[in-house]
Amino acid sequence: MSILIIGGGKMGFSHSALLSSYLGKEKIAICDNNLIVRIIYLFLGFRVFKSINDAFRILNKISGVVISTPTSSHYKLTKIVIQKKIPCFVEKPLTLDKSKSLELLKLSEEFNTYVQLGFVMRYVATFHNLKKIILSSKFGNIVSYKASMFGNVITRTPPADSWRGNFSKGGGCLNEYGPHLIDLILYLFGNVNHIHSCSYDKIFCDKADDSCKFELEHHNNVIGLVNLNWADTKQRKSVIKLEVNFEKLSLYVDNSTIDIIDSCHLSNINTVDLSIFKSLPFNVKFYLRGEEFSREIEDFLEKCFDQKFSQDNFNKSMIPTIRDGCNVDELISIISKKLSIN
Amino acid sequence: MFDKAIFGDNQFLGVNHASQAKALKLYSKFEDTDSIISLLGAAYDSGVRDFMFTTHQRYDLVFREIISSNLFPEMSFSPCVPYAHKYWNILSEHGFYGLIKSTFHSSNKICLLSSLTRLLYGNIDGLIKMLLDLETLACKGLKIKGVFIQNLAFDLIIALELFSLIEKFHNVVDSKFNAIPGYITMNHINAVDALCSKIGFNKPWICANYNIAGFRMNPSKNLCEKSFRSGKSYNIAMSVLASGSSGPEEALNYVINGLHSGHVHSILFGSSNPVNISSNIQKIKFNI
Repeated sequence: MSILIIGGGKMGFSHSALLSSYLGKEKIAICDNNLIVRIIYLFLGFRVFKSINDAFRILNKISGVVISTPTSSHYKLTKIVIQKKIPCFVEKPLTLDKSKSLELLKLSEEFNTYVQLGFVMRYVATFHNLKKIILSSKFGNIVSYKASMFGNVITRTPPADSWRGNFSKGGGCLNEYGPHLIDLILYLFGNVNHIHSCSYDKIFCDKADDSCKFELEHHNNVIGLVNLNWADTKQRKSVIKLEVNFEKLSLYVDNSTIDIIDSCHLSNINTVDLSIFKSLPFNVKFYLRGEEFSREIEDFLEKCFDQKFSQDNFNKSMIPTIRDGCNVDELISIISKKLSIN
Repeated sequence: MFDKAIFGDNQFLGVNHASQAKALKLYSKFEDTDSIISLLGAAYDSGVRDFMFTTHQRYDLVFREIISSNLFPEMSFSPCVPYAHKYWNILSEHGFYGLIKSTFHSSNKICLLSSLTRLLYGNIDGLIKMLLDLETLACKGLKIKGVFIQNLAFDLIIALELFSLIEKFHNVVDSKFNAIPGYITMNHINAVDALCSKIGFNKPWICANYNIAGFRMNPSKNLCEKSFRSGKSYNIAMSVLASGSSGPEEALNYVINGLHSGHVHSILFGSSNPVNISSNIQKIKFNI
């Protein structure tokens, strides 16, 4: 029984190590059309294949497939795997083309194939905790929020042929950071009804957005201001920050902490059990890069092998599905049309 | 052996697991050489004699000053290699080929050729020595006590079951650097299994999370404690203050108990406050 990883780049490499720690290297196979990449993985002791067809022909039983190729190939590869009825983990975003994503959703329902998306932020303890706070309605309804994701992915003008610097090839801040933050927003605050305003800026890239802002109105009248910037050289690493205004309280939440920023509408702050704001990271069987990366893989492996891998009993409804992938692609599509990035 | 108290460098590199805002402030606060040297001086005056640090370029000028001015004569230095963020970012931007090209572009080409030739015959010692030399270039002239592999690299290596790499690293650090090889990990149980059972080291030095809250003690606090108590490794406890998830005094007492019980051999801690550094040293080293 094997897990096939298609795409041996940065994310594929990360998955190969993590999956090896859970299953053993002999149960992992890599598929990449680049010869140098295949040689490197051979040197590391993995089985390698040039194409997905070769892998399916030769491997005895594939229990799951991880797709970590550039976004442009997600549609074709995911379609093949869905039709083979093999559980599939697709790195974000799904396809960035809402009609193709919708097609994959319908196909996965028709073939009853499990597809999980790599929206890893849901597994960060503080955001998971925030979801629990929201569901508890302890502090009333949400009125509004601000959400931002800043990082230093781009710190100088990328090469002319680089896909990262080209919006139409899947590059740009909205395509790269957008899926993470937008999925988190939809997961926490619900579906979006309107996009009120949006704008973008070019800092280093000629053909892509380096930063963008937009205002969202959700179905429950919640208003959100969203700010993305992947060219912020002051940042050491990418960080998501949220300021959430409930009826009775305002919270600041990022990847590490939940803090009260305003409690003036709360009748008595002393009645609040402050321990609900403490977010210890989840325990995982093997930690590499962050608990969230291990935790999402544990959920995927549980579907592949029908056995428990995680150390906890979280609600499975938090797992990002192909439908979530579609929702994100649809919203990004609407925003990018309004922005007219070229 | 390492000192009971080892001073770490999270504050210098803007690492704070409890607060991104504090992390950014620290990163800015210690941007200049003098501020780092000043805090190291305060730590030295408090009794710190072991400093463990990531091989970040921020220290290039710091170490140059320490060496040229003969500062902190009794301090031992233990570099932790590699600075993973740098390589991860290169891998993201330029792929594997770009990573290899970037890593070796400043190395001696004859040495590189010799190392690569030996690599073809399965001998990776030369390459490992070269990589370690590159990573610890700024440390030349310092009194090196240990050389550690950072957790991202070490945990990646054991996940990929590349145990011969660890063996070679151990040998190179021991024989060529005359230093103690050490392993930083977020997975103490897996580390002990790899180092002791798979490779066969006798009581290697392992640096791993050990704190009252169980913060990042995977897969569970109980199993990690058991692994610490197994006696198979020398243990350096890190993240001892559990990133603020419990009171500092309570947290430190918990780890100091481990020191007294003999399953924790050193405590790694960081701080940007000289008063806290002094207080921690008094408690750890002098039981005050």
